[in-house]
Formats: sequence, C-alpha cells, structure tokens
Amino acid sequence: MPDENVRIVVFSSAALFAFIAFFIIYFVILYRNRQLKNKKEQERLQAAFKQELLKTQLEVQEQTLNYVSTEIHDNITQVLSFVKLTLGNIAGGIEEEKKGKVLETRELVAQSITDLRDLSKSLSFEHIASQGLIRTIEKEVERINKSDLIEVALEQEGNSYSLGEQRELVLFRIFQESLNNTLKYAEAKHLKIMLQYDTDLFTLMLEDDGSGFSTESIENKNGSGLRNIENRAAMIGGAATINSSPGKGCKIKVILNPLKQQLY
Amino acid sequence: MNIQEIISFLLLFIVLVIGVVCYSKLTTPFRLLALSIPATLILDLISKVSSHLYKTNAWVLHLECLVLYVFYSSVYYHLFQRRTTKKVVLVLTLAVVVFAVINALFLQPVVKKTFPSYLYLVTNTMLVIYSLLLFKQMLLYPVSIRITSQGVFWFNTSMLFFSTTMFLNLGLINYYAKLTKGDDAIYYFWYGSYYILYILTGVALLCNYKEKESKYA
Repeated sequence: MPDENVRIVVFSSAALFAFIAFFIIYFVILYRNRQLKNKKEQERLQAAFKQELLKTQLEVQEQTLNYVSTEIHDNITQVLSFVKLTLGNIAGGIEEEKKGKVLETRELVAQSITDLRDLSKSLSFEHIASQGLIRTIEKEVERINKSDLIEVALEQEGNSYSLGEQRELVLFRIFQESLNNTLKYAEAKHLKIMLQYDTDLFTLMLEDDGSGFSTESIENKNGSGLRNIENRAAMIGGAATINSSPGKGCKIKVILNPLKQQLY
Repeated sequence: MNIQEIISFLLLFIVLVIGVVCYSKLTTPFRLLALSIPATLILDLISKVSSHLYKTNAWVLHLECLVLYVFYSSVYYHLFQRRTTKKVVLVLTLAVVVFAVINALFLQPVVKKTFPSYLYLVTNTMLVIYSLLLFKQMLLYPVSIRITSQGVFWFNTSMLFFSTTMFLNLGLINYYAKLTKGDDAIYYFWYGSYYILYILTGVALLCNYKEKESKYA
C-alpha cells in the first residue's frame, strides 16, 4: 500500500478520534458543572423551604400563644376578678371565723390573677415587642423566682441595643424553650442567664446545674426542643451551641451578629 | 474468516451475554439496545454465508443498516423526553424505511449488488443528530448520578462515535476504491469503529443494569 494512503488513513482517523474525544471531554466537564450548579440550587431551595416552613410554624405558634394570652387576659382573669369581688362582698357580711378563710381565698384568687396576667404578657407578641427582650426576660425571671421552682440569676454585660422585633421575639422563644427544658427535665437548682451586648456580637447564654444529658442523643431527633433552638437561631442568622453531659448540667449559647441582615 | 472478523464476532458475543444476563433489570430503551445485539449477530452471520454462497452480501447490508437504524431510533424514542422530539423520531423512522425500500429497488439496487452507501449516510446523519439532541437534553436535565456511571452517556457516546466515523469510513472507502487495489488499511479503521461500538454498547448495558435511580430510567 502506498505510504501516502496510509498517512491519509492514520491522519484522518486520528483527527476524527481526537475531535470526538475532545467533544466528549468537553461535554463531561460541562455536565459536571451543571450537576454542581443543580446541586447548589437544590440545597439553596431546600434551605429556603426549611426556613419558610420554620417561619410558618413560628407564625402559627405565635398566633396560638396570642390567642391563649388573650383568653387568659380577657376571659379567665375577668372571671377570677369577679370571683375576687364577690368574695370581698361576702366577707363583709359573715362571722369572723369564716371571714378569715374567705379573705384567704380572696388573696389566693388575687395571686392567681397576677400570675395569669404575667403569663399572659409572656405569651403575647405585642407585649414582648413593646417591652423589649431584656425587660421581658427580667419579668419572666421574676415570675420563675417567685414560684421557688429554681433559682434564676440574670446578668447583663454591655450596653443593650435593640435587635429588632422579630429577632428579639425568636430569641425570647429560644429563652422560653430552654427554660422550659430546664424546668421539665434538668432537676436543676440554679439557672444562670447571661446577656452580652458587644458591638458586633450579641450572646444569650443559659447555664444550669442540672442532671445534664448526652448531646449525641439529640443528634437525630429533628423535632426535639433542642433542635428547635438550633433551627430558630439559624433562622435569625445566628448559631446555637448546646453543651451538656450527664451529671454536668447544660449550657446553651446563642450568638448573633446584630449587624447582619436577615430576611426573617 | 480473518482475525478482525473473529474479534468482531467475539465482542458481539460478549455483549450478547451481557445483554442476556442483565436483560430483566434493564430499562425499556436498553432492552431494545440489548435486542439489537442478537439482530446484529444474526445478520452478520447471514452476511458471511451470503458472501460465501452468492458472492455478495449487499442485500444483507441493506437490511442490516435499516434494522439497526430502527433499533437505535426506538432507543432514542424512549430516551427523549419531549413529545415533539419523540414524534419527529417516529416520523423520520418511517421516512427512512420508505427511503430504504426505494434505495434498495431503484437508487442502489440490491439486484445489482450495490453497497447501500446512501442509506448509511442518511441513517448515520440521523443518528448523529439524535445523539447531539440527547447530549443537549442531558445538559438541560442533569441527574445526580456520576456521568460515567450512566448507561445513556455511554450509549450516546457510542452512537456519536460510530455514526461520525462511518462518514469517514465511507469517504475513505470511495477514495481507496479509486486509487488502490486490495489495500486493506481502511478496513482496520472500519473494524476498529465496530469494536468501539460494541465495547461501548456493553458498557452502556452494564451501567444501566447498575443504575438504581435515573431520570432516564
């Protein structure tokens, strides 16, 4: 066979193979890029969906709490006030022995009314918004200390500033969730609450001396209260860390950059 | 039978075994692809017998080109997602069948033992277009599976490779027919193209067998 013909075959086939190989490699790279882009987009959508879901859950929860708050304030406390008034009237026209018991009952009703009003305020979004985070937490601490369930100490560092209504509400709900967990499960005697206001960092910390728990046990529980704390913190652009081990209490820390803008 | 033909039959046989073993777990388009292998094997054997007995295999080549085109078109029909594209594939397949009949009777008559180069050109042009369309579709709707693990990628690559090299094969064969007598360098290239087609088809079948979740499945 003439050399020229061999050259033509070799050259043509090599050129064609090279062209197809180049095309396939280019396609693979392009495809890989598309896959990565799609993956990122999917992750972004999932994160947005998760945030939207959490936001909706919080809105529903807030509506429920507001409803309960209104019911306590407008209905139960009104009824109790009427009972208190009636007891006061009865006390005026009965003998001394029974009068003491009636007045004692009246005092108990009065105390219940005060407690319910405080509870109503701690549930109400408007109240939290108008009072601000520190004042609302202070009120809550006072209420818990009165109950003698646990000794709560509140500390503040730095000059306080507003974090915005929504973020303060979420932080207050985180505080409530943590407090609730401590009261329900920790068997703690002391709870220390710290609010730190730095220029570019806000920190909320709750530390109890209770029975503690293994943090690994909550890793896979999506619906747990502690997981909710982490999710809520993430939703307002912050981060929550939960440190605990059996017998060594629990420390929950939420940090937040007050300058960082968040959609929520 | 020369060594190139033996290798070709051996590869076809291996791919046939892969197709038979994996058949039950293959998706519809890949089942069709697997079915194209025994069809190729049978037609190639008939071609050899025909060459031996009647000194021509032109009629088998006419038939083989058409049969394989119908198989590959039906694979693409199932792989394409857009209804319009599917309809176009269907219509073009019918058109090619009609053209194949006309070509076999009038343009490059079987009775005159003419090689069906027109039919090869038409079918391979179609397959190159389908292949590029499927690559485009893959880019538009990428799946999370690694591309080298996707049967559809290997099948499409084999089609693109084979159909484009076929143009070169045909072009070079004509050139050789004019300038040389009995030179067979081009046939190495011809067989090489078939070897790669068979190997990639086997890989495509194996990948589809292993795929668990795919948009194309």
